[in-house]
Amino acid sequence: MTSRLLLLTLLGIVPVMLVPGWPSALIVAGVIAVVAVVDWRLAPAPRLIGLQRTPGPMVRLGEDTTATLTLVNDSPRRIRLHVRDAWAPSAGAHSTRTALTLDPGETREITTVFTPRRRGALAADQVTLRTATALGLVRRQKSVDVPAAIRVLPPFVSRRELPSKVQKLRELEGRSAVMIRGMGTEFDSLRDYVDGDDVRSIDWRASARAQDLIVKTWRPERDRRVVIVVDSSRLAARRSGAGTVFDAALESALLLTALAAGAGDRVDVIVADARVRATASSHRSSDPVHDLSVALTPVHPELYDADWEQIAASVLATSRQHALVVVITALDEATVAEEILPVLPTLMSRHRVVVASVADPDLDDLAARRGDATEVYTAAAAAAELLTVEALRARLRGIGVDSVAATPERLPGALADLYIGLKATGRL
Amino acid sequence: MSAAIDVATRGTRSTAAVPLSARLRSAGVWIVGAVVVLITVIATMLMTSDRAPEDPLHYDGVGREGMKALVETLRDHGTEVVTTESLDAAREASARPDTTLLIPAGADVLSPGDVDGLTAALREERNRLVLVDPGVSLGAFTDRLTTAVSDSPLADPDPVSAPACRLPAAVAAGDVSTGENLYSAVEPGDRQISICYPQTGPGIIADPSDPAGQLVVDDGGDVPLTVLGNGSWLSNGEIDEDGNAALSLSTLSQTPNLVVYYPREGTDVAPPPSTIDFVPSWFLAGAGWLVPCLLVLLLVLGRRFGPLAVERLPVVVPAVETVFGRAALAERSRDRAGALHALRTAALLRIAGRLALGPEVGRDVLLTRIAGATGRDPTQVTWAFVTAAPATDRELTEVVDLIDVIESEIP
Repeated sequence: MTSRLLLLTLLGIVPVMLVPGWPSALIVAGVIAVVAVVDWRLAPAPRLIGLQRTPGPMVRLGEDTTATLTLVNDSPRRIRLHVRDAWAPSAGAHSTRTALTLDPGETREITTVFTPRRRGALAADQVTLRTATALGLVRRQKSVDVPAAIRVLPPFVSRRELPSKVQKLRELEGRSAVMIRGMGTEFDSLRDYVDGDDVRSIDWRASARAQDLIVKTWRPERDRRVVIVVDSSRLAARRSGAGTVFDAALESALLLTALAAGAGDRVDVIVADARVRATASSHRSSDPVHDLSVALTPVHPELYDADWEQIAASVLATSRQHALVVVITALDEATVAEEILPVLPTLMSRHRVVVASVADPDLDDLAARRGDATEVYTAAAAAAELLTVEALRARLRGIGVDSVAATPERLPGALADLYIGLKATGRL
Repeated sequence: MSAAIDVATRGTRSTAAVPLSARLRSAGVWIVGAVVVLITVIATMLMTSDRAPEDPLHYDGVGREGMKALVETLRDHGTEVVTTESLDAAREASARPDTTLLIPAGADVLSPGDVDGLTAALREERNRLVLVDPGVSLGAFTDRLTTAVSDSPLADPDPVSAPACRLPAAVAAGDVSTGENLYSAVEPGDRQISICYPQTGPGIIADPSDPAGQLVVDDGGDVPLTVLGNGSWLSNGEIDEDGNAALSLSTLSQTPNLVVYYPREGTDVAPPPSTIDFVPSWFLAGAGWLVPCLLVLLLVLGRRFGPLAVERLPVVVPAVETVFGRAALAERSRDRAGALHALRTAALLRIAGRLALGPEVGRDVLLTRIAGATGRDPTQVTWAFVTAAPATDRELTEVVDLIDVIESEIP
């Protein structure tokens, strides 16, 4: 059914009005119907077209990507086509409809540009083909599954904080400032004394041997282990600011991975709820952040409760030596008291544990509400929520677990600062 | 690029070949549609044939009262039978030569003008008019015959009547069923009027000078007229009894053509002309053609270019809503103490941070420092942060506002 058929039907009004009456109307209608059916039968069958989808490069959320649909005319006929290249709505395809003509044996590629609106593996929907004859009154139509998906990596907005954090680490390393012996440093090398060096770092034994003043240099400890556990249970599905708690957790994990891997530490990431959903490691990886992004892309929070015993077991299995275990989860009173606290001693016996949690930015606004009684009650409820988090953090501090709680925008930086602080004091 | 693409390096590949089950599924829609249309048509036909007229002596009536058996028998034996309910059609058909007009019932519906029209048409070719038990409306057709008034109210006529005349049709038919009404000549003794089938039986007093019978044939009027005095001679139910069939068939098959006219009340009254009669027919045809145009337009606009694209979205749980829920619960249960406690604790923690006091500092020390820092009366500070117990929501709001003011005064 096309507008041409409508035009033909409208033209049919001329004979109908010239010879009024039922017979002429029926004859005109019959002729139009027969012509339409014949035209439909004469249109080439859509199954004569071979289809293939080629997803474009992986991108971070906010960038554009492409996908190519290849059409092959395997038939000896010339085929006029309308193609709808349907994708999941959040893939943000700019244009999904194309009209083209394929000569026999011809291959044509249609490239669709996407601006994805969310992270993840965004699946393609069906390809719909419409063929028509030269008359084009009625088109034949067929929808075909051509599986494909474009992968959209987490945005890693906190990347912009990386230079400042790396700068902090470098100050620690002594490349831009005097490095003295202390906690969290290890022997690096011997070099000649230059004016301004700390006399305390002169190695007298080496100086005696060399007949010149030699100083020892120090650098921060390297090759430490960092295990980041990201909770993807129902509590991570909560909306927080623009995205979910899980999105903020991924940002934090990415920044910490970039920082720690750059500082020479080995980073392992475990995403888990009732089961381990994804793992990634910086070990033998040339680009740990990219590898981690790819591993995390298809993972979304699910409405399960986290199995903390299993998570603890997989952490212990990941690293046998002393590691910094960063648990990014929600500071929910019941979950922490009944699930997390019982497994903490097992983890702490071998590792240093840090808990990071995403604070809801709306809660602060709600707690500041004043006005009528309803607003005051709302503010009180929000304040009670915030106090619960504070109480849990105090409780964790009591058993020697550091914690960070910050809004989605602040959390990656805060967690990175905590890591740098721990590294500087040699508590890694 | 050639038609053969390296599938392994370029991803998945599909063709539009559709499995048989999917084809059947889409074909099933059409099959079901065809069945529905068929059932509708059959049901419509059944319902229309169920609506067969049950009027007495109707030419299409198949019940006991109907007359279809007679009409069909006449047709089988070569008589051209025209059946109509339209006066114009009856008049037109009656004007043809060698025709008999039968009005089986409803003669009383016809106006004098209608009767004049019919008789004028019959008169042209001297065609015969046959009336079936017309009763008093016989007077509209002729002034030579009349309805006989029964002189014997206690009469009990025999179930069958004998011809008792020399009319060949009657003699050939013999005995027939007896009806209720009798007809006679206005002027007794008219040689051109034959009167047959008088009623006989106990209590019936016949007047030989003014004979009355159930079959009266008048060949002397403007229009030859036959009056069949008993409708059951022609009805489906009784036509096979005695000589009924023979009498009615021989009466009606005298000419090769027979017109059966069944008058109906109001059918021949022309309705007053409405506005639509003044609209030219080409305009109506054009306007009617817009219906198929609209249908095609709907089809063109309504055809979807493939199914809707679907997507599994990740789950998102609303978080802040629980706060509102808890606030509403507290408000409904008037938990002012709990609400005030939470706000006080939060304010005290913030103030302690601003005053650089650790968590180990006691409440009294903190309150004293607050009073010192703000210059307020310590009693008022203690009231705001500890002792105040608001009884109404208004007091609660006042206490909270005071706490805010004190907090804002901390340097």
